[in-house]
Amino acid sequence: MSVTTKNIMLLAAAVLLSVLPLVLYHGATDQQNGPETASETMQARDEGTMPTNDTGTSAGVSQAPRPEGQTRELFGGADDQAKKLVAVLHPDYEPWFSPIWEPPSEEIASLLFAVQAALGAGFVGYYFGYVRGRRRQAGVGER
Amino acid sequence: MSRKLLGALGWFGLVALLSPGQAYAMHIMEGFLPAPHAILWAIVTLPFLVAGLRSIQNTVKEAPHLKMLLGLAGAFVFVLSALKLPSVTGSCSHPTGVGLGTILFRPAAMSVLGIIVLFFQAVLLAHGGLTTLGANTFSMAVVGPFVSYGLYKGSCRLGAPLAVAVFLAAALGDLATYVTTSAQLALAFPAQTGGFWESFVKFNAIFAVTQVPLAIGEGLLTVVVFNLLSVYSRGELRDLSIPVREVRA
Repeated sequence: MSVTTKNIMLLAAAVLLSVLPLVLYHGATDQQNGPETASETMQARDEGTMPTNDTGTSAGVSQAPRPEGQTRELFGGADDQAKKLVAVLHPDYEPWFSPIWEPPSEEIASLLFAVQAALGAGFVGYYFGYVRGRRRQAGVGER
Repeated sequence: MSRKLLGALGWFGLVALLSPGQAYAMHIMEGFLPAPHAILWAIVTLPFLVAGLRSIQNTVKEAPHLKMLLGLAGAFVFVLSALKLPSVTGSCSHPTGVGLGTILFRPAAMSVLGIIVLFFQAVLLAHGGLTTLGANTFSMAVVGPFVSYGLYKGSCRLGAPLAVAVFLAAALGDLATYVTTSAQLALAFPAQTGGFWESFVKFNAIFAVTQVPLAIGEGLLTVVVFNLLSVYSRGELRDLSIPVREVRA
């Protein structure tokens, strides 16, 4: 098997791995309210901190949101759960410092994350373009 | 390669937009370590940074042709730590990407690259934090890389194929970062009953369990980059005494 084939398979596996959770939880939110209110139903999860069920059963269990807004947004950051856990463990803890600047909206935040990834991916692409061209110019046998 | 990553980015950007009102950060949040802890972790991290700076200086001076590769290691961390991926636990986290650079340039160098990325995210993205920078650098850019390097060296010594060694190093180094994060939080917030271990288990349930599939993904991506390097940058890998076999593109 050539390296290229291997790489494509590895990439496909990585992509599948990250799409899998979306597929698993898509069913769960869908059954409840239908696809058009997907963003609202994103909140349907059991318990405040962590879903304990494993992947196989998750689709079935996550139907009902807790009565008084005790819901958790689906696919929120792991850190938000950690914050809640801190509040449970040490209810009197007050964060003593807050971020000096916060992105003014979710959209700006995602823009900045996109910029970060684009810069990184841009350089990765540049690097491989560079070494590929270099290798071609030197003739494949070199090094 | 980068095109695929960008495609993935677009997809996950969409996911991010669909779940509004979230402050993401898989590192310890700003202000969420008591001051003594924050200072202590910063002090513990400092020697690694000094060693890292020295190691990078040496690399740049003695082998200037490796500068581009160093840039690649940094860029890889940049990309991967911007990709917040969904996990089977129903929450999101992101890989660290330090495994690649660790294997290429040894762990110390990664502490410097890691803190640059963490600083960027703390200042511009309110992700992680300045007061928790020391602790986060320690988990992502000290413990992660050293675990990676140990596993890489160990697997190579046991005669594992390079790809397996790289995969294990990257995946488990990633996981080790989040286990460390959990330990740091558990030290700061021991449970009223059950103390440190109780909290440690609980924080791990949040950070480490979520991280398992992402760690596997990071391992796979790191192997891809390594495969490409062993075709196109074989000279550099040899200079870094990484055992590459003859491979065809």
